[in-house]
Formats: sequence, structure tokens, C-alpha cells
Amino acid sequence: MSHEDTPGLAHVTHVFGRALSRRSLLRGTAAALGTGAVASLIAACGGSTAGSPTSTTASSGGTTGGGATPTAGTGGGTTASPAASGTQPATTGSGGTPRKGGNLIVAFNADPTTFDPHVTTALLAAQVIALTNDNLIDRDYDGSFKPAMAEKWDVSADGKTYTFTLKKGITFHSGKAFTSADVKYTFTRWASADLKSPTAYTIQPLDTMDTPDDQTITFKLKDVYNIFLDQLAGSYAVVLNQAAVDKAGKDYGVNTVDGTGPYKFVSWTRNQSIKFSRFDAFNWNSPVFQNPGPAYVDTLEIQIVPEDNTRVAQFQSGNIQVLHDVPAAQVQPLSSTPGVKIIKYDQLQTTYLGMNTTKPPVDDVNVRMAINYALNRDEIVTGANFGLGISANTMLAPATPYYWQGSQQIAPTFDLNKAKQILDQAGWKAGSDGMRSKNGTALTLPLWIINDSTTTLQAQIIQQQLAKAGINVQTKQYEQTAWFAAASKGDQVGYIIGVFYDNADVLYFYFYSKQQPAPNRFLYSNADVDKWLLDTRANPDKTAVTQDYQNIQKQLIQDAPAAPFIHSGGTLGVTNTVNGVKVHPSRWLYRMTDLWLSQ
Amino acid sequence: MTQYIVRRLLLLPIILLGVSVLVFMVIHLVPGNPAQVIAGPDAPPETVKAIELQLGLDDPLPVQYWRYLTRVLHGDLGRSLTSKRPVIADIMDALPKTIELTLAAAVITPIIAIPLGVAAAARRGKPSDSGLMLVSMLGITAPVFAIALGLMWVFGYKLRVFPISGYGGPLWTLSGLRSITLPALTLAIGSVAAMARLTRSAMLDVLSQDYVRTARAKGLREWRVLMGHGLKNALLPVITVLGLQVAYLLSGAVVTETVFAWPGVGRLAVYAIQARDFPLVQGTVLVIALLFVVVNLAVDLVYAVIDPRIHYG
Repeated sequence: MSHEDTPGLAHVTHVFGRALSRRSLLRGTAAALGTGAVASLIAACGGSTAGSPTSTTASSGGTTGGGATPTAGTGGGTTASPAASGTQPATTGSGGTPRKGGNLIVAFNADPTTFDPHVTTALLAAQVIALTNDNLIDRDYDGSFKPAMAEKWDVSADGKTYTFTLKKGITFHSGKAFTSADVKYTFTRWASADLKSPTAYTIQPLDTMDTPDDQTITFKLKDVYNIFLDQLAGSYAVVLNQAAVDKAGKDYGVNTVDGTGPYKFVSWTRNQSIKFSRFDAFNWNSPVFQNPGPAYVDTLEIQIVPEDNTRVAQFQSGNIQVLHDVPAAQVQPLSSTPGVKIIKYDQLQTTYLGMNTTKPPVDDVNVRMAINYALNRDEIVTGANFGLGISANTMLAPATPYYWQGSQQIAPTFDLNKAKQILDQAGWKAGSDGMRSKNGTALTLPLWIINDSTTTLQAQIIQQQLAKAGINVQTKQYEQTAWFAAASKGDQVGYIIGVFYDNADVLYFYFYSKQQPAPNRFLYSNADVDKWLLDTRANPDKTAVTQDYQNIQKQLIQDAPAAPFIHSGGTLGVTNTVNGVKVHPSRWLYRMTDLWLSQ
Repeated sequence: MTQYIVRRLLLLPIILLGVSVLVFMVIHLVPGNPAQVIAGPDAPPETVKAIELQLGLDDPLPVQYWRYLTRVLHGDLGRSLTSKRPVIADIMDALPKTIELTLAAAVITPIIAIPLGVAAAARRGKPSDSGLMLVSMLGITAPVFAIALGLMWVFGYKLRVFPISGYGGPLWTLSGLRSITLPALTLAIGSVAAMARLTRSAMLDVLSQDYVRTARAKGLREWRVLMGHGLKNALLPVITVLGLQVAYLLSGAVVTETVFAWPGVGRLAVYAIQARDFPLVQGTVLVIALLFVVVNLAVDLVYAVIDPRIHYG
């Protein structure tokens, strides 16, 4: 499937270019489906061998380790994550006391573009930057914020001033002591007009910064900005060492990295591997992680293996210990391969059929609502996504903060008769072939999709399902970058896209009227929704914000600009020698400080 | 000969100029804005605009091309839009690996193909001939990625005699030699099959000539007939095809490099195109074009060495 994603932006993560994004990771997964016959060659390696199944289904934050006793696999369905279920992250045995030492090898499907947090929006870049650099605060597995380089923070009563007290004793890898001046420099650089950072707009409300002493920094905002902490916890907000940046110039993040994170950058051979070593002085880890001190492994190596089947073969051979994303077609065979575990986890992700509310026939809310009722989401999850995910009928995944529980009472679920009834009442009459028209105009939905295997399968299933309701779907495929170029002008009618997010602010991003023509590709405009969305960002009263989000979610269900159909689950492969694995719903393996090797 | 070489070399800049114009136009005509790629698809329009201005993407195409050309003439291929690394550094990292891979495959190809072709010609019409030709047809038609995965599964995963993927170091080291074997074989298989078939038909053609019949009538041993009279005269078309195959190997390296996680120029080019990383696309394509031209020139020169009847003047 195709996705937009943005871990560092508070809300949505998006990157494009196959090599760059989580979207492309999932596309890579999908690519394996297209080569099913060949894939089975590789799958047969492990699939034919008897062994005790080690597939696990973990809630986001589920921890597995050697000797783990996680919830049994259920063929791909994921359990509710802690925020939704109210349960604590499933903590399982880790095979004993964490052991220091060893070289951990992780496979990525593409090269991270850079270690400079201010010049990229790439997800893989965010993942490696999290190893070498620290934030003032970290996002916990349940979505809350915990101190990282900051010891504590206060927010003024008017919500416009954030004062951080910084931990003492933090040093950069180069040995330089960390002070509030480094924070000020980092944010000044990020916001500077000269750098033209693609993410500078996310801290646009930042007005001034004061550093009364080495351990204190105060951010003063122009306006209340409820997602300011989200920005501080994002990968773009990691703290840099000015001396290192100035010295390296344009090569900062290419061959020079100086951070305060748990791993020191050692070397980077483009398209081949990145090597890190443990930063022994690191003892300021955030309470988000179990290990307060230095990482357990001596060295960490990220190998770049672009081809899905090759990555899987390397993983089965034990040459790599952590498989970034397991191709969907190979989840089952790998689950019965001895010596490896497949961990399925929830993530904040939604894939939806978007509809341009200004273009016929989906300018008619009845058509949009009928489409919502005509989609058999379970069939799509099983048929296109190999059961890896849960069917979705709301834009926000249930684990998202501010998710409105009442959604489930009113959001459309599969009911073909109701879909037909809505269309009948709206004047869309079925012809002899079952396809509908109104005043001589056929009910045809042009559907723009990205040409990866999963999205193609999703579109095929949707085409069949909507045909049963009398809607003719005409699919048009695009290469990924071309899709975003095409769908940025407002000419699209129907389209499929997915989005990863951190929080409910994704709704502002996608449904605020001034976000047209992209990312508000629905060209959706509702004055009330706009008012509520603005309030979610600017009102310091949490109760009011909760009510705003409830109103927004309710209105979006009624206006139906989107037909969400899946919250995709993530899959991670680890060998049995890897312990302390804990997958974050939006940060993947995060800082990798809890990982340790039993051999 | 020298005149010929000089003339060909003088044509080189013109060819490269043509390639650069063509690539520049094509990459700018393909939908997709690099500024949007950098900013992320949902960045505010003003952010995208600011990046476009920074990169000079708002200038007319001829202005952009002239700026690019001027830079290239000063030896500067620019920096990657996405990674900010100097393009030349990326290419110099990747190029030796692609050359190693292509050379290894180009060496493997005749070593396997010519004996197979000669053997098939010598046993014309026999089951072994038919078998060899059938296998070679499979070699030509099988997709590169299928061959790659098959070899990887047998020799990398099951027998564990070679690494499954990755670059193990320069060709002259043991780990380098081990790591290049499977990708080079994969790359060579299609060429081996094609060249074996060509060698067979060229041999059959030569062996039907009168002078071969004369040689046999004079009582020469069959292997001397085959090698001395047959192969020597059949070699010219084979060499021609080998030259073309090197070009094919370079293009085939894109898939092979991806499957075997080989950090070469092909992979770099694919990444650059997908990310609409214009300077990187232009840089990699220029280098690949340069390689093609040089290889073709080398092949032409080899003709003259093999066949004294060929003169360049």
C-alpha cells in the first residue's frame, strides 16, 4: 500500500521516493507479492522446516525476548494497543539479565539520506538520527512525553512559554559538554531562512528563546501551540553541536555526526552499511526505556539490502538479526522457521479511499456515504494485506490520543443493502447491468493509485465491491512520486493513500480547509470543522480540545470525505538471540538501547 | 589507427553533451518535483517554493541546463538534492564496484560460452547439442532476478559456499572474490547463453567452408580443425557480440545490483530517478554513457587486432 508518514512532524510522516519512506518499506513488502513464485523459493528455505512457531502478536509496546510468552499469533490480526485497551505494554521474559557485548546487525531496505535532522523528512533518516542524537523530551509508548535531555519542564498558564531545566553531565560524542546554548543554536538553525529546512514550518509559532544559564532554556511562542511538545519530541528537534556543524559545513550529516545519543557514528558506506559503536558515557537515557545507561551491544551495523527476498534470505541465514519490515507474503513461512521470531505490532496508520468533495460524482455526500457502506473492509484486510492489520472505518486508529470511542456507534460498516438504498434515494438508479446512473450520467469513480502490489490489490477488491453497489471504478496507476505530483493540483476524484501519524493533529493536517489542494486532497471545507481544528491547536484547555476532537470526528463521519479501510499492522523479524525488543507505535525500535544479544 | 582513435575520442564530448541534454530534458519532463520530494508531499506550498528557489528550480530549463553544464565543465557534478553528498563522491564510491562486477561477468562469459558453443557445434544434431541449446535458451529467457534468487538459494542459503548478498571488498581479496561470484554469474548467465548459441552457429558456418573440408582431407586431427581453422575464423562475430554484451552487462547490473545489495552505479541511478534527485541522475547517466562509449571504442579496436583485414584510417 502507499503511505505518507512523518515521525518527526508531530502528526504525519511523509517522505517519498521508494528508497526513503516507511511507505516504501510497505511497498517493498508488497513487491514481494508480485514475485510470489520466486519468493516461495526463498520462503521454502524456512517454510519446509518444522519448528515451533514463534510468531507473536504484540500490542504496540509489546516486548518480546528470548523465552517470550507473548499473545499467540492470530494470523495477522493485531491486538488493541495500550492507549486503547488501557493495558500496560505486554512485557515478556527476556531470557535473563541483559548482557553486554556483541555486534547487532539490522537490515534496512534503503539508505538513510542524511544524519542532518534539518534537511530531510525521510523516515529512515529519522531512525538513524534517533541512535546518535537526543531530544529534550521523548514520546513514550503510550503517546505521553517523558524527559530525555531535559530534567523537567514547565508550561506557563497562558500556554505560550515553555521552560526546560536540562540534565547536567551530558556530553557530546566529541567530548563537548551539553548546555542550553546548544539547544538555542539547534532551534535557531532549524528555523533559519538561510537553511530553508523543509520542516521549519512546524516550529513557526516559536518566537524567542532565552538561556538564563547553562541548564535552562525558555521557549516563548507567538501563540498557543498545543503540539509544541510533539515537535520537540520529533526527530527534527534533536540537539546538535554547533562546533561540529560549523566545521563540517555541507558535509554535516554526510560524514560527520556529533550527538549525545547512545551510539556513536563510525562510518557510512553509501548503499552498503552504516556502523555505530556504543557511547560509553551515555547515562541520561529517558525513562521511556528500561535501560538507563549505555547501550548493551558494543557495535551496531545497519546493512542496506534493497530486495525483499534477499533481506529475508539473509535473515534466515542469521546474517542479519533484525529485519526491518517483513514482506507480507513471508510472514507465515518465517513464523514457522526455527531460530527467528516474527513480531506483529500495532502502529498509528490509516489507509483510506479519499474522495474529492468538489468533483462529481463524489461531490454528492450520498455517493460518499454509499461507498463507505459498500466497502467490505475485512475482505480487503485479508485479501490485499494478508491479514496484517485491522479493518478501519475511522481516520484515527483507536490507539490515537483523542480518538473518540463513540465513533464506532456511528461510523459506517459493511452493509451493501444500505449502500444501494442510499444511492436509490439519491436518484442513482441501477440499469440492466446493475451499474447506476443519474440523469444520463454514469456513476463512475476514477481512482488514482500508486502502482505497488498491495495498493493494486486493494483497488481491485474495492472495484469489485463497489461494482456490487452499482459504482463503476476506473483505476489509474501512477509511479509514487508522479502520484504525489498529480494529486497536488486538485484534479483527483477518488484515490487511495495511507498515512502514519503520531497524534490526532493529523486531522488538522488533512481536513483543515486551508490545507487544500494538498494534503487536504479531499478539498474538504467545513467552517465548523475549521473552527474546531484551529481550537485543537490553540486552546490550552484539554477538556475543550477533547470536545473539539469529538466534534470533528463526528462531523467527518457524517460528511464522509474519506472511506478509511485499514489500520495496517507492522511486522518485525528478529532472531532468537536478540532480546529486549520493544516496538514503538510510531518510532519503530527507537533508540535501540534495550536490545541485547544472548550470544 | 591513431587517427581513428583520436577521431573517436573527439566525438566523445559531443556524445556526452547529447546525452546530458537528453537526460536533462527527460528527467525534467517526468512528473514529480524534487523540491516536493525534499519537503515531503504534504509540506506547505511556501516551503516547497522556498526549496525550489534555493535549488534554482524556478528558472527556465535552458538557464538551469546552462548552469548545470557550466558546473560540469568545471568538474563539479553538484550535490545530491536528498543526501547533500557531492555527486562525484557517490559515483566514485559506486563506480569501481559496478566495473568490477561487469568485468567479472565479461570474463566469465567467454570462458564458459565459447567451449560450450564449440562443443555443441562439434556434436551437431546429437542429444548433447540439443540439450546445450535448450539450456542456453533458458538462460536467455529467464529473468535476471529469478536466476539471482535461484543461485542465492542454492549456493548462498543451502550450500553456504558464497555470501547471499553484499559487497565483500575489492575483487583481489578472498572475501571480495567470494562476494562477487554469485552476482557475476547471475549477470553473465544471459550473455553466456547468447554467446554459446552464437559461437555454435558461427562455428557451423565456418566448418562448412571448403578450406575446412580440405583441412580434414589432409588428415588434420578434428580438434585442430575445430580450434585452428574453425574457432579462429568464427571468433570475429563472437567478439562483436562480446562488446555488445558488455553494454548489456552494464544495464543488467541494475537488477543484479539491487537483488544482491551490490552498491554500484545502477542502484544509485535507480534511487536517484525515484527520488527525482536531478544532479545524481545526470551524474550517474553521464558516467554510464561514458563507459558505453569507451567500451564500444575498445571493442572496435580489438577487431583490428583479431582480424588483420580490418583497418581503421
